[in-house]
Amino acid sequence: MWILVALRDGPHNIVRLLDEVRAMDGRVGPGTLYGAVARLERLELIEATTNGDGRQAYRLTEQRGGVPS
Amino acid sequence: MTRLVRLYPRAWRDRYEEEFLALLSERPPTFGDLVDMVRGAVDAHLNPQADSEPSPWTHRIPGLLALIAGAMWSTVFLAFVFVQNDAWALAGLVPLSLVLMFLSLPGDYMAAHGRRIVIALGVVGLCIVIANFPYSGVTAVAGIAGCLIALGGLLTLAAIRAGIGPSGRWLLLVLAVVLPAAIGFPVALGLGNISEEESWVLGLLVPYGLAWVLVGLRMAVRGSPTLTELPASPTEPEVRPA
Repeated sequence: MWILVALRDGPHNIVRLLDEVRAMDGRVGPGTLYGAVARLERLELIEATTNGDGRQAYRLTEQRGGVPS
Repeated sequence: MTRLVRLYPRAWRDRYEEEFLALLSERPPTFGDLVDMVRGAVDAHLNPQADSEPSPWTHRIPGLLALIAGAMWSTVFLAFVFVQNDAWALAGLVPLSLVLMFLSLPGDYMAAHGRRIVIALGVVGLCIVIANFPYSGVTAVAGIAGCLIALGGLLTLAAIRAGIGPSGRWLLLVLAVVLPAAIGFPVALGLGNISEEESWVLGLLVPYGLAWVLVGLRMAVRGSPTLTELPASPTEPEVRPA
């Protein structure tokens, strides 16, 4: 849930995502984070993209209102 | 750290390993994070989170070749234990096994390990030359040692291709090559031309064939790209304007 909240501001790379989720939800481990990311990706709620700096990032999918149609 | 990531299923690692390791390098994990990673790995096994695409049937070919080669090799040397000199009729299968073992190695793997394969072939060639020298202790030691190095190298290369880790490869090498050699080497040196009663020594080569059967099975189950089907390089996701 916190991942979806964090991604409302736009695509985040995984490090920033971890930092933001930790800021909202306390101590979240990398295993828990990736478990959640994988599930959300499978549910097509988030998707992989690239940031302006060319790094891998995640963003909300169109159905979540994250990508303009 | 890489060892911990290996706890995750293959499909998961194919999808997330690279960025997961990058994350861990930027945010070094605490002890709690390590526990969390183990818990995450168990979760990923119980609830697969990344799709794994089945390998094309052609990716099973190298594994099947290795499996057949290992079975043939084991059969021949097992025959030496049970039917002694009558087993020489099957001896022609040994070079055929070696050819199949070599054929199971190509693929994307060939490019990365081509030099080692050439060295292994060179050592085998040298052994054949030495074996044709008049028998002496020196030529016997050089020939046997050279062949053992080449056979061990070949098995190691196949084990790498089968995705067997370093500890597993060493175990395989010790059980299939080093241990039988340690037993058979002194015996063979004293034998020269192996008589019917002494042909049991050749039975020590059976574990080598069994090791290839194991490696071949693993290669066949996992799927291993052939020479003509190199794995596709990961494509960057399409970037759409925000």
